[in-house]
Amino acid sequence: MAKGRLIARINWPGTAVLVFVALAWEAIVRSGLLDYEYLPAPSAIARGWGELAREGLLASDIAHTLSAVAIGWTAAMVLGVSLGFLLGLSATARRYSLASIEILRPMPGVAFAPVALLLFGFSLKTEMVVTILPVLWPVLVNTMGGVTSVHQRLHDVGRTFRLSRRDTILRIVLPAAMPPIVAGARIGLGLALVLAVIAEMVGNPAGLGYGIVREQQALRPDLMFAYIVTVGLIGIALNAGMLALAEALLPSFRQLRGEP
Amino acid sequence: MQHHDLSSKVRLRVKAACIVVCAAVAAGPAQHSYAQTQSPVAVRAAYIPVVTWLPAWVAKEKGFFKAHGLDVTLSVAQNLSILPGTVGKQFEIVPSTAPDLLKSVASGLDVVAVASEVFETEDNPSTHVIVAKDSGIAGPKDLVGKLIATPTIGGVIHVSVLYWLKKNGVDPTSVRAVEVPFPNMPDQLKAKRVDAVESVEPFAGALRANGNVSIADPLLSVGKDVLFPFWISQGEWARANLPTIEAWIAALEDAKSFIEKNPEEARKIMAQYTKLPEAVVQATPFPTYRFAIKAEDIQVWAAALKDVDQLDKEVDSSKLVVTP
Repeated sequence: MAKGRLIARINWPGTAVLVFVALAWEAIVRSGLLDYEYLPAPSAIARGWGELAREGLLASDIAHTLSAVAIGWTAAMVLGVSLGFLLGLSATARRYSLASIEILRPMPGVAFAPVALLLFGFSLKTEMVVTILPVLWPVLVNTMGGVTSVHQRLHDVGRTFRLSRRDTILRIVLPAAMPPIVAGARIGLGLALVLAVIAEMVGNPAGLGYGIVREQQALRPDLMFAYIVTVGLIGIALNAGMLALAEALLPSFRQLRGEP
Repeated sequence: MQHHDLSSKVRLRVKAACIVVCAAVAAGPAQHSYAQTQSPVAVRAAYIPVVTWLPAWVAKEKGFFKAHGLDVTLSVAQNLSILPGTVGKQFEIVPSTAPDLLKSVASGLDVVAVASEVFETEDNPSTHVIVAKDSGIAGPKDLVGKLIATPTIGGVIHVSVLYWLKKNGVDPTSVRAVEVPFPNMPDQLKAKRVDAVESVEPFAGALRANGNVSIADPLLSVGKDVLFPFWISQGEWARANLPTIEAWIAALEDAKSFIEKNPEEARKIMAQYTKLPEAVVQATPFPTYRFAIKAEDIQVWAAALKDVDQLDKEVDSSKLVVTP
């Protein structure tokens, strides 16, 4: 049953496009139409992936990057949801904070890498500085938006049942605001992966990001692309995991996505 | 008699204890040199995975650091320019270049050179400006209006290219530059996205083997025997740890001798740290390793940087070298 649902969920036309692109890429490289040192064929990348997996490098690099993503995303979620609720529930807090948020929001996290390096050196902390701030904003803004857009009628229901402020938030506002919070969490998770990889490329020499740099410097484009493909696959897996978690925690989420 | 022996022993022990205490007081709390404590001095150092830093890897792998009383931890880093800010915090000794050192000092960091690593010499050049054979570019004047690929704008190689252009009567601002990592330069040159590349060995050798040509070693325009990468540390640490720096240099000298006598084993260590393919490891020439450094070696770079408007503050080069 679960297997059938999984097969039904696979985007077959999209997968077919990917397969077609890979085949075309292979044909173009093999035929010599594109003959560049740093453009290996997909088959070479697949062999490189196998080589990395056999050496055990891939597993340890994936573990490092995933731990950085988990810590960074969790910290951003805790901060973002808390601050989002505060701003969503308090017009005064919004009035005093929104200007600052709008200034901070467009700042690229990677620009903080040199400062983080000075403060924390080559470490996971440096990765966190680069990761947490940019991930915080979509979570915070979506949470705030979700809380402020809870319909007045739902608040009236709470008052009718004489719910306390705490119960109104937990039983009415939180469930109603969940879809945008989950949307923010999904955006944040993808962003956390990208930023963790960038932080590893420019700051902390560890994980998948440093793997990309290391293999580039070692003149192994096949292994470099194998790392890049791995990042893509992890992105798909994280998104799928996030959706499964949302469905488990939020039964109405499947209906919201238009699924039976 | 027995009583006399016992009291003599006690006196001896008291004297010995006094000597130890006095020695410890004289050494001070921050001094932990090998000679004083006989325990290895911990040194945290960074490196970039290129052949330049081979002596440090050999010194680590073959036990030369240990033999000189150092317990060295080597950590990999992505690029040189981010390292000056890490000394005194995460590392005691890191690699650097003259432009990075001078700019760091000009912006207020307490960093000094403690040992050299590689000198660029006429008989062993490692850095090249390379163009495609059919590009029609034969010298600096042909580069006017062209696009050149550099590993780092503001880095030692690009500064030397700007100086080389100026020295040959070409306005450095007439040549545009774009940052491209060394490994990607051959494809950029082949696709004619750039007109020239600033390359180093082993990439330069591979480029020339594919039919491209070197039109100059830009570093040699700065000096005929010019300082290339070297080791830096925090000034305060360097002044308080001269014996450690002496041991560091001695270990590197031992490593250099080892590389000269055992090139094949040295190349194995190089492969281990760079992860380069075997063919590239074998084809990579060793640069000119030399570890003594003088203030004049930095001074020529300060003058070159000023000449191409890359250093706008006065920096006293005589204070930038702390070495035994």
